Amino acid sequence: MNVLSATAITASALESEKMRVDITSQNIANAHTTKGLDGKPYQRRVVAFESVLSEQMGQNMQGVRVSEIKRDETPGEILNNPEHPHADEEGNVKMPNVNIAYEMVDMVTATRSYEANLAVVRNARQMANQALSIGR
Amino acid sequence: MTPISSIAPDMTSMAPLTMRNFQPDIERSNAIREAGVGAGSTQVAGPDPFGQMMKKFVNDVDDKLKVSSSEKNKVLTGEATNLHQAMIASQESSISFTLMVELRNKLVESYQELMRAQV
Repeated sequence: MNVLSATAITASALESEKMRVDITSQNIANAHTTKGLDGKPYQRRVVAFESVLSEQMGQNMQGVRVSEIKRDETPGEILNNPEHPHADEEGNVKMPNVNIAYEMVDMVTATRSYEANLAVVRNARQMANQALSIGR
Repeated sequence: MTPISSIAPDMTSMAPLTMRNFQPDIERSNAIREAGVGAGSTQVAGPDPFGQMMKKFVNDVDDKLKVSSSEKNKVLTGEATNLHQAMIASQESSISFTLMVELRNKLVESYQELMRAQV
């Protein structure tokens, strides 16, 4: 029995969009991290999605999942700040390549997509409830 | 009274969608019926197909309720963070429960209708 049919797909989309918000939050949190785990300044992460066939729904129903989380290799800004603990001999500090404005835009798009998927769930529920009220 | 034929065109336009979803159910119920006919008696011996179907349905609803509460528990204990999964599961269980109650009402209604019959 499957009363809310398309929700498996919508759930996968919600999961992926949530991951995108998580990654954006990581990027914003590390916007000033000059020393990452590898000793280099933090590089912003980019999320890519891919389609995935849903097992229960068959060939024509495609869900979505996060295919990979890649590092953005563009070099970050170099600031001259000799007092910084991570400055090199010439007093230059390599900053992360995070642009807060871009991250905010990413976050807004991810949030809106999440909202759109929630609207799908809401509509599916409404449809089921309306169908149930046929006999009344 | 509204003639049933007036809603028939709507039913045929819905057919492709419903057929795909219910084909396995139809085949299953056909198989159950044929098994009953094969037994060679007008009275169905042993467990009756309709009662069995209802039982399975009630079990399905119960399973959905269990899934919903376990998802909620997972979120509350911090084992999982997917809030939407828990909410969707709870909606699904609530809708299937409403469907079950609706069916029960219909059954009780028809029973009462029978009891009111003149003898």
